[in-house]
Amino acid sequence: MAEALNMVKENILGIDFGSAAVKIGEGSFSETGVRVSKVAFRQIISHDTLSEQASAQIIKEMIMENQIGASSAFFVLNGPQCQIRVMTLPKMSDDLLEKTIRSEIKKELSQPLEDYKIDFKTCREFEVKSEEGINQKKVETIVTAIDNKTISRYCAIAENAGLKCAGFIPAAIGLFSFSKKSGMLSGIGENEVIMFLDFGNSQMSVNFISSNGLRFSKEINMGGSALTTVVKTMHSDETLSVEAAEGKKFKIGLMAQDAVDALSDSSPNANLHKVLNLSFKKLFQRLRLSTGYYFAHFRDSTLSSQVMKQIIIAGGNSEIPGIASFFDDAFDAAVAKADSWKAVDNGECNLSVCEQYNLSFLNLCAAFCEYYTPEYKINISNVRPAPAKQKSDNETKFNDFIASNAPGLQSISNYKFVNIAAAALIFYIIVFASISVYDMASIFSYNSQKSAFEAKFNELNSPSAADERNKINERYAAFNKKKTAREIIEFKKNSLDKTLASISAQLPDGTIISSLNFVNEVKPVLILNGSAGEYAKVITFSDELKKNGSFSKVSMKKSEQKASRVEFQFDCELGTGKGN
Amino acid sequence: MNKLKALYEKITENAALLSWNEKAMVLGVIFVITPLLYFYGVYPSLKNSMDKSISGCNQARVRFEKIEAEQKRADEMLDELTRGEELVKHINSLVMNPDDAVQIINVISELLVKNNISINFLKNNAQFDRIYEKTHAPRLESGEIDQTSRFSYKLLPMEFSFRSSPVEYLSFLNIICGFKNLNYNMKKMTASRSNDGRVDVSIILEIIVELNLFTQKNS
Repeated sequence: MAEALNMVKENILGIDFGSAAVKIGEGSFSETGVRVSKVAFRQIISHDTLSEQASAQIIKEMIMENQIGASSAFFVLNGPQCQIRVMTLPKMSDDLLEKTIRSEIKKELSQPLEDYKIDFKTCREFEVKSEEGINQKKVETIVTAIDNKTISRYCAIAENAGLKCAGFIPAAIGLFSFSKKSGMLSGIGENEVIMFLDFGNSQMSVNFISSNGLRFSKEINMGGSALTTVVKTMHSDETLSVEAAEGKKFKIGLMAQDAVDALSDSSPNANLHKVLNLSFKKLFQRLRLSTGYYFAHFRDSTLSSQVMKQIIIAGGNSEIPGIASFFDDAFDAAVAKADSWKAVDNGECNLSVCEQYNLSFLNLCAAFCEYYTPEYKINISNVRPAPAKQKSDNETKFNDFIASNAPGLQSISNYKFVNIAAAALIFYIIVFASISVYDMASIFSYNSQKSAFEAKFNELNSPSAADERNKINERYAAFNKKKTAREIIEFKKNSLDKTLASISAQLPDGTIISSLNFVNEVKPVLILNGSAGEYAKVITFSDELKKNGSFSKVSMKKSEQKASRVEFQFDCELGTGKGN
Repeated sequence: MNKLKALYEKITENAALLSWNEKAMVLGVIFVITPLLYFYGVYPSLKNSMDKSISGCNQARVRFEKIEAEQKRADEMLDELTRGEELVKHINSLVMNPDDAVQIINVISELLVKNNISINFLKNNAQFDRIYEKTHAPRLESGEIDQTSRFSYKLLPMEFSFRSSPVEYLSFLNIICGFKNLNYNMKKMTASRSNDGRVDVSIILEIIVELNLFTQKNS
């Protein structure tokens, strides 16, 4: 985004919102370089914590008073507002590098990682030889971490001031661009650094710049306000406002330690100087710790050692008399006050303001340099979004497992948790609703069928229908019985007249039938009694009877010679009517 | 729609605050607990309702099919009864009134006169005092009486006794046997020649005068 903005080259307002003063400037870019056309400075030390509306109101007033026309603005961040770390890490993949950087920066943040916007830029790649003599590839990265609340606050201030927030530029990041443009790095060797000390009211920053860029940045949560408090407190005999105490601080200044030690207790302001020196020493001690940390880091590392060639002091409190001598005494490096306008053309500005607050405008000018001629292209409006939470070990393990065993599933992780959960819920809702609807439809169908069956059953089971069926059953039972009875009660006809006529025709000569009996009990039997002249006639008659088709069986029951006749008896069973 | 969008954004923001373990727990609840809740909470009652519906439907169908079969059987019986009406009439005609015996005797007498057959009957009557009943009771294989086939009928004997020439006897017999549509049974007949060449004849005919089928309504 910075690159894009750089290409536009439109006028933009830079805002440096310090705890003691607000500094603004309207910048532009031309062929000659970065130009600041209008600047404004306003003390806000007398104010307590300013609300967003009050801050915006101050900016609006400053814009109006200076007739600034820019419609968008960037904010300069310094001190604890923006933590900057230079990390030297083994070369690795981008994902792993980001993971490692987040893990490392997390150790230095006072709040959870997700409360910050994190961005980083790989500055250079280089090889170093380890103690074992193995060449290792390393990368140097600049990492910025900015509290989300700070960003929200400044965005709200810009909005309330009627400005478009174009982004945030850490002052430390801009110092490299500033140094390059101002030519400060021209005489700096490869292992030499320049220390920029920003001595603010409530905070101090130490930044080491080499020809390769920013080497180290450290924020200290103490500043010139500690000295103001001393001045205010030590003047207890008269009521001093904070503003007045601030003014006195710059007038009194710091004396050399030897001179303070030589002061008689009875001399005026002796105690004040002693306490002021003591307080400053505490601040200085913190500064020494920071620089010491930096040099110790290089001493212990495999990287080459660093030499501090110059100390540039800036910030409003650097104007306190006697400050520079302390650094002179403490460090071997040359000490100089910053010239904020060295890299920026301020020809159109109110030069008296520029001169008066020269040291206070360093951060703003550095930010303008980085804005128009970026060295790091880190702009907080362009930071990659931080994950909501640091990935837990479980998540890492899970992701590693998926990556090694089912890389195809990795695409799932592209979807948001809420989307996955919603998709699963919707899937379940659809599936379960389908099952339920199908079941409900089945239940409805079964109930409908049941109702239909019951209606038909009731129709067929009505008293009239049941009575009708009973009657039919009774009639049918009677009918069947009648059919069965028919076999018995329908008598068979034995055409006895024809039978007797045929017997008469078969009767041999001289053969007489004296009596006949017909009995129809179990079987119809015709019993013939008679006599013949000889046995042969009886036999002939018997043969004839057997030939008679009316009989199914002919039995001779008697054949007896009596006198000259042979008496006989035949039992003739009538057949089934074939001869009838 | 905007409200939904706002709700979605709010949920997304809140979800971003959850730790990975919390997210895993929420997903676990959705993926595992939701189906469990459904299949152990909602589905059983649904299935119970469906089982009840199926059971009720099956019971109703069985009841209906049973009564429908009864109705079909009744319809078939009615068809058979309709088709068997002539048969029933015929069977009914096999059973006569006791009075019919007198008419039969009268018809026989008239036929004898008509055919110039002079037979002097010694007996020519219907024996109303000798009506007797026969029961037809076939037995099942088990030895018990098959009640469905059991019926009884009453028989009225008619006695004809006369002395005549053999020709007249045969003519009489011819008349008797000529009643093809008359349901009678010649129970007994005796004929014996006497010394004068004539024949002494005794005939017992029976007709059915009552049929008891042992049903609720006898026909």
